Amino acid sequence: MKAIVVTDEAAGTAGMTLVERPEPPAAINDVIVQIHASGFVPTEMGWPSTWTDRRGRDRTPSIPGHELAGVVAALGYGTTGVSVGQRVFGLADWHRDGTLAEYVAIEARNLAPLPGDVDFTAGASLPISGLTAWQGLFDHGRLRAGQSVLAHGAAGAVGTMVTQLAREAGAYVIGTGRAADRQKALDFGAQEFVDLENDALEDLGSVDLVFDVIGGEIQKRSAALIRAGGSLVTIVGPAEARPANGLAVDFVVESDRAQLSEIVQRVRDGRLRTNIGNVATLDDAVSALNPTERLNGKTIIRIRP
Amino acid sequence: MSIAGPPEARPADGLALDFVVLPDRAQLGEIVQRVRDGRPRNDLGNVATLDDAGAAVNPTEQISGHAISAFVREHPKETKSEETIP
Repeated sequence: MKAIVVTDEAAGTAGMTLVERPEPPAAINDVIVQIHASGFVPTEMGWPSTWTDRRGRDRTPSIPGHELAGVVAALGYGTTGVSVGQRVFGLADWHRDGTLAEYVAIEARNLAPLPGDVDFTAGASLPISGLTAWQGLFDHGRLRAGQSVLAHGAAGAVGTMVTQLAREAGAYVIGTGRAADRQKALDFGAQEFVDLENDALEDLGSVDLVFDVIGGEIQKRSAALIRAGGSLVTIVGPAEARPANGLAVDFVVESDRAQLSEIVQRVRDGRLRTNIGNVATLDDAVSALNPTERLNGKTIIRIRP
Repeated sequence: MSIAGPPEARPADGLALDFVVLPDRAQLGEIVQRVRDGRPRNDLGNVATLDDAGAAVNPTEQISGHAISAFVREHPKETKSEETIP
């Protein structure tokens, strides 16, 4: 099968090459999915799981991209819950070969059915950003209606999901980003916008939940804004700051079939908009994933037309 | 419902399923709560140390306690560290 591989951590996304690889075999509880669309997050290049297996052994050449939408092609021993020919989408195991390929072997529990009225491109754009937002807001942040959320990077892949899901849950959302992101953040539902380069976070007063995707100084200043009983939720590693009387949680997103189904249902009924900036073929994926300018939205690779 | 691989027989008017067990935090919580309540009872046949595990998992006679044939207790004073060897 055709696949994008990486072999050199120092080279990052520039080291991607399109090659021929063997089709993956199905392990226990696996599904072989014929991939129609794939999503990739550049931070994968910095994660140990892209380069080594769970025992720390080199696993290159490694296929990056861990979001997928496609069709079930085969089932492994003992696999239940999906059937051959079914449309599915999901989030592949970080330590296994990913989805910038024609086929992937993935545990069934990492997949959910993709309804026939949601196209593969949309399906592949949802797992990481949608699940990260869902788990950060509801599982880790315990968000409740009436609370306020400071959503950093509100025009980004995760931020647009955080903003929309928090609004739907009845929260008041303050988005942040660069000046150029203001209109997009407001379009996705932020009720206020803070330009991190020109506005003072401290002017906001207090908030119940900070959703951090930046870390560093912004994280520290944000933690100081959190009300007693509130939460700092971060996806950039162990929190460097803690709210004085609140929780600090860092987490790595996990696949969850029920949550994937909640997310895709919201796309079907218009409560959630995807944030896709560019769609490219697998043949053009290397250049599409090495953009020369800042992109407005997520890049999705269409593996099959 | 079979855990012994793809079913070789099917009910005339029903489903035939085979599966491999998966870990599930919520279900583990439900199960241990039932053990605390006394339902179901544990059915332990044998408890051995890690040093004796080779012999314990290769018994020369049938162990009563059918589902679990041996336990390895790595730290005898800490019962929470028991691991099952299915």
